[in-house]
Amino acid sequence: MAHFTRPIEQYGPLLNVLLTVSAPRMVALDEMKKPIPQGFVAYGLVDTGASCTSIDPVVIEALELQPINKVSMVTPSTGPDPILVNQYDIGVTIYSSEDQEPMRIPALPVCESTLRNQGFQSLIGRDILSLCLLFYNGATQQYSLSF
Amino acid sequence: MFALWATGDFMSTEKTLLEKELGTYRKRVSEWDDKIGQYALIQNETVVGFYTSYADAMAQGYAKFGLETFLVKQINVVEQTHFLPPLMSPANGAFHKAH
Repeated sequence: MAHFTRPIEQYGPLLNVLLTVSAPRMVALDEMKKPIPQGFVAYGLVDTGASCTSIDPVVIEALELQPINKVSMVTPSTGPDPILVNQYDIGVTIYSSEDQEPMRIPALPVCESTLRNQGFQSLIGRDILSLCLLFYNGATQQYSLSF
Repeated sequence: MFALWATGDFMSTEKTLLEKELGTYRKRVSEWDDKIGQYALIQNETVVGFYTSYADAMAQGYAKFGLETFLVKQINVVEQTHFLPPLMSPANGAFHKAH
């Protein structure tokens, strides 16, 4: 099982995550002889309060994505009524160390959310965390992720 | 619940994207009791098929429609609502009230 331990930073448990177009989209672009956008290395906040993984519009622009769905979303800032947000299709890779296999999710629906003002471009939500073991050690200000 | 879709009260193309497909989904979803949890692939008013995995639905969507607009939506009796924590805000201009 691949794993890593990192310090909990000012904004919380952060990690680098490689965001790409999804594997099915990559195949389609390749068959159409269209350029495949380069992957985007994002700063991601591990967030057990987020039911779905979210990405900032800067990632959507970089990967030249188009929405594939709209979903209802509730945040404290939206009040009790859900709002509709775009959902996009991406691939996600989380690395642990050079000698361990990274976690690769070839296709994942993610929501759009403005995050970059918070100092990161992605929220790693429970859809990804459901594939992991997360250990949050507040006493030592470290967290560990295994997958 | 999705009153703005019904009234067509949109401010930009961005907001109208997928409107037809979502309308088709809402019209037809009550017929799909036996397909709960599967993913529907829809373009305009055509329901292309149902898939047990998200990746399969996306692969079919790209194979049939390339980079054109299409919808892939998991079939649920009650629309799933996602939650984000405080300090996060949905992207400006990419959303509108669901009620």
